[in-house]
Amino acid sequence: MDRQLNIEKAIDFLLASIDQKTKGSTASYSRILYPFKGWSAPYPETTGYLIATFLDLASRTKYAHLKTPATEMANWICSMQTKEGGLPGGLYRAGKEMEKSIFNTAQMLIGLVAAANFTKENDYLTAAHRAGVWLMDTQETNGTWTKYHYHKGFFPSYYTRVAWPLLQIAQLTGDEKLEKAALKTYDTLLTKVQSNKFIKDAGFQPDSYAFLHTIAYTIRGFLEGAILANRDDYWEAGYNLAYKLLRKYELKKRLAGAYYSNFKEINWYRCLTGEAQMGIIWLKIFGQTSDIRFVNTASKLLDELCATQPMKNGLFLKAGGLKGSHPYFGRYMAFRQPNWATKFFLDALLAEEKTYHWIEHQQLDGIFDKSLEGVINQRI
Amino acid sequence: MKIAVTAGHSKSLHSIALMHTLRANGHQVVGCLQVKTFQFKRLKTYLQQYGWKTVKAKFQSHFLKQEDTYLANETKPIKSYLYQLGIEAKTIDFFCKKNDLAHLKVNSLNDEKAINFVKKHKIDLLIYSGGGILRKGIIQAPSEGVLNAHSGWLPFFRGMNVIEWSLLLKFPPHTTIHFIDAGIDTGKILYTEPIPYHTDLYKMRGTATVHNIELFNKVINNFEYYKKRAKNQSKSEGKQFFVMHAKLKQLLIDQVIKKPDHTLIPKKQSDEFHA
Repeated sequence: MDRQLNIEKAIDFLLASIDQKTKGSTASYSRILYPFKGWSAPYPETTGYLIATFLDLASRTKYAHLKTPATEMANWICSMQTKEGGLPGGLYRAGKEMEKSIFNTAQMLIGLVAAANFTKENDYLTAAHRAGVWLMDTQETNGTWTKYHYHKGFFPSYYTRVAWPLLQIAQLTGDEKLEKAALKTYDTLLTKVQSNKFIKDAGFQPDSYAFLHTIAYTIRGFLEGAILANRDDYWEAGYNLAYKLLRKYELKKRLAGAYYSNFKEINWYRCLTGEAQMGIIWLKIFGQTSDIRFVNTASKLLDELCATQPMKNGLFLKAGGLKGSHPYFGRYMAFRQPNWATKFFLDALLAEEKTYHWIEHQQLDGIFDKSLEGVINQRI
Repeated sequence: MKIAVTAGHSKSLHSIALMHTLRANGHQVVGCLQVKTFQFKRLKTYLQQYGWKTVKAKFQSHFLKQEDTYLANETKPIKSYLYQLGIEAKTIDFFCKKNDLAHLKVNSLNDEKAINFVKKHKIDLLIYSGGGILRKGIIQAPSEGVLNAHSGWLPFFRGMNVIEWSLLLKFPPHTTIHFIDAGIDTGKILYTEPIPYHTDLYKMRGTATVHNIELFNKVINNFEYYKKRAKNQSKSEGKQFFVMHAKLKQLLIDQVIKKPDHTLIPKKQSDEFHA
């Protein structure tokens, strides 16, 4: 299981996605939708969190050169910030006014926090804090938002991924007001956890299915919040759904592309983006619990994702980029290779690499499962 | 007590050895419920579960009797066990005919035909020796229930590849005799003890096969005693494991099994009931 080539190809794809004028990463590659250029317009939201991936890599000598594109991306994000601190939604259109977006601002906040941590430059920290303040200022007293949504009037549960970056910047700056705002959002979203462990409203629209992508957003947000705020209830919400999906994957040998809140599946396609995110989530759970089953399943899923990654340029597909869906015409980002699918795929591969490195270094002693503590004296 | 044994395929040496030893111990073995060997659905399930490489090796080892696959060591212990017992039969069909036992081939152990077989022969105890997941109908058909030998220390290690998982987590692998209920390895526990250790993973898996035949006999020889002491499991006590990924299996072999100073040999091969 050597994933090095997969990693290299994914990096090449993401570097190729960078628009030379803006230095932002374009949303997707598609020879069907953009037959001439192949690439769509730059996408501030996903450029935002791509910064974190590049900086993670840049901390290794081999990939130190990725610091430059990462900081250029961060500079581009800063250049779009409004005076209130908000950041734009949608694709970038030069010279056109762009509507601010709650969710997208939070995703860019992830990148700004990473840039601030990596470079120790105050400008990124200030920009990140201003973005956090804007999120707080636009928030309702019950922790929800009524404006600047993707779907008008709909407050989805994947806004856990708004609360998470808000909590990040709150803790980085010691701003208690921001922390309070983040926890308010989490507490409201916690009420959407159903008895069957599904988290209601995890999709783009109310009372409808949710792509695995946004389900994974929701889970990740809860888990990260739990770790930062040391909250068992957030952990439980994310963990329970993540484990339920693990079990489904192990028993059916695949995850559906989308699920309804009763776990009814839409399974004629796979949401590769969401699968990569689930890989990250399962590896993160291992990191917190030492439950090796999560590494096991993540590796199986990553095997399958690697098998879908094109390694050479083809008529429709660009080498290294993960498709939004498999088959290519699946409902999630049909006929496209979104930059964020590859970003999450790369994150998952790196997390897996680190995990195995750690396990091997620990001579397996680190994988002792805390839940088996009751029988520890029987261990040999 | 009338006993029947299941079989996952026509050449299940485990089922043959089990029927033989039970009979030798004076138990009334009525017959065998065997799942038809070649079925597309089963093949698909196996391929999904184990992958092509393992299915191919299993086929070569079990049916073509090839000795050069990496799984060959897994079948050696049961083959030598049969040899020691002087069992010549290599197929369920042959064994049943020779010993005048009932033999029914079914597509699934959950089929109505299988349930009727149990009812018709007034089977008290069904011994599970392969054939897929059992549903409520067949579980409830024998008056005493269905017994299983799980190669994992219950209630802690449920599910698949638990010998490997136990070793990876540095626990002595156990065989546990338990009743089958609707959950995965969650039924009442009758007896458990460590599997004799072997430095070759596949040989250890093979040894476990023989070990569970011996434990089945041990429990059934004193069935009322063990039944009275059977212990309920709570779902939260253990974990369900799934097929181990090749990378983890390699880590297990390199870092645990092949380790020259391995410390995995259980300190005492306890015979005690400690479920």
